[in-house]
Amino acid sequence: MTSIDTEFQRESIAAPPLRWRELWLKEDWWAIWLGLGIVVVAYVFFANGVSIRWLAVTPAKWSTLPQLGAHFVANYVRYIAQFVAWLAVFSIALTVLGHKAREFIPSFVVLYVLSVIIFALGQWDKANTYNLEPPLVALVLGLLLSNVVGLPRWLDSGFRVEFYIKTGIVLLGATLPFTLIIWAGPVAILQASIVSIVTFLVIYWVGLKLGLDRRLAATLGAGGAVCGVSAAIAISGALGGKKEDAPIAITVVIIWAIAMIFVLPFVAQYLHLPAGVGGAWIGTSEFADAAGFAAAQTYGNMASHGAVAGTSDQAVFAYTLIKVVGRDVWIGIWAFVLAIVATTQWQRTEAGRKPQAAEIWWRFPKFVIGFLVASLIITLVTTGYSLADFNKSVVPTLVAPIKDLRTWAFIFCFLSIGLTTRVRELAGAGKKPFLAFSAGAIVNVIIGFVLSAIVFAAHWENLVR
Amino acid sequence: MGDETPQAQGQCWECRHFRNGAKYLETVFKGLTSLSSGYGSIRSDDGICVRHDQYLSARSSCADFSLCGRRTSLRASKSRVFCRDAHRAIERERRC
Repeated sequence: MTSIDTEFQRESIAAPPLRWRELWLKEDWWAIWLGLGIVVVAYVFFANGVSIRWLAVTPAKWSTLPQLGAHFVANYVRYIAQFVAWLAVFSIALTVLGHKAREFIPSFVVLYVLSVIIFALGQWDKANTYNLEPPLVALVLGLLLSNVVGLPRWLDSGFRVEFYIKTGIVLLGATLPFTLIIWAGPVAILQASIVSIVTFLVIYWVGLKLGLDRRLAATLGAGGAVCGVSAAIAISGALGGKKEDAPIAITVVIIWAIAMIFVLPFVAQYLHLPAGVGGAWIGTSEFADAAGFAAAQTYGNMASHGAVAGTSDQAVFAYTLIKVVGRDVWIGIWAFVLAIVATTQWQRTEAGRKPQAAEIWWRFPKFVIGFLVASLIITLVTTGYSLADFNKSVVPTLVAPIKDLRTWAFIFCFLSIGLTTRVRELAGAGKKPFLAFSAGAIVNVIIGFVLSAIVFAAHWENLVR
Repeated sequence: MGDETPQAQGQCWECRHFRNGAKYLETVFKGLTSLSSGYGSIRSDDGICVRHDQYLSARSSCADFSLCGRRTSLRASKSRVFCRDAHRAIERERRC
């Protein structure tokens, strides 16, 4: 019995398999309900000749503070309404998931106010001159607040990185044509599979050479090859790894992922990579979804400012196809295959089980279903429009407001990454795990670059063109 | 592990040594919430065995299985009775 055990009621530390209750007790499903709910409401408004644009308010471009002030004076009711809407839906979801509303509400107030400031800063006409990209500003501000100023632990209730990014990804689905997923998906899967398998093998092999336990090496390998921290804990659980394995993987993934957020967009810009190519490279080089979106969004913003060729959408769409469609969805298969290898080839552990094919579904990142359904819905309901009509009536009243709400969800996420990353609290990873992971990360970046910028360059450069 | 693992009376989720609550895991695994979550589907129902210091599936089993609370069917175990009894067992263990 640990001291942490005594802080929790039994029902909060042990629970039977969720099965159908996952529909309301896992945040993936809540991201689907919220994301698809917004999409459906947006469509109902659109079908009746109105729009949710009023609620999807965002700061306008500005060059002087009086201009910015005038914008907020003119639109403060819309911001309050939007805040209340976000607060209501997130409160319901997080309360059902087991969080305390009395902790979430003040926390979300802080998050929303900071998000408005960051969003507004990003709309400054000189923001690009000083590289004040909202994802990077959000991350730096969050890191400073959590590591220098210090924040009470209970505030973390509102800083739900994964929940916000999953909700944002479902909303992103509504802005990404389903036909594009079908057209570009196979290349994304091929490229991501090559990178994932090579990266995993490098980390695993180097890890074994350095004397790491097989399960730890595989946990680190999955963290680098598939989807960062989430993949690491999924594989550690599937293999029955030591309790210490997951925190080690968490530490090395966080260090690398956050460093890459700041490095990749600027290196891609330095190399003059078009937006789609840069997005694909980030998709193959970043580990965690949230961190990768911060980097891809930053690169997309550079494209919208004219600093790189292409459009913001190209960077974000290419990243999403590689990361979500090409890598995330395969985690269940990785877990199943590695569990078979572990049970048949590796030294047995005290506790274990037979691998089950059902694990592929149990561990499937369900929010991807919402992403695909959202894409399908918008694609189907806009099928009859000509391109001119689509751009004239559908984009401003249906797609753009959803995109604006997606941007809000992403800013909540980017800020939460910084606010929840307390460097001093991370577990000591040790030199060997860090070296093994670093070897894979470097190979990952190189192969990702070759595939994105050379082998499939034309494919990614012309995405949604 | 696997075929060779002794299939004891029950699975880990019924065992007093097992901890798989999302909030609990987010507390134990420092940094988990920075780029992931204890509430994600990808984690399935995995948790920590405090007896063997392993992180493993709730459907695992071992020879050291110790029933948490009274023996119940899966359906009945979904009730709070399971958790209440389990909590009492932990309290007894702590007092010992």
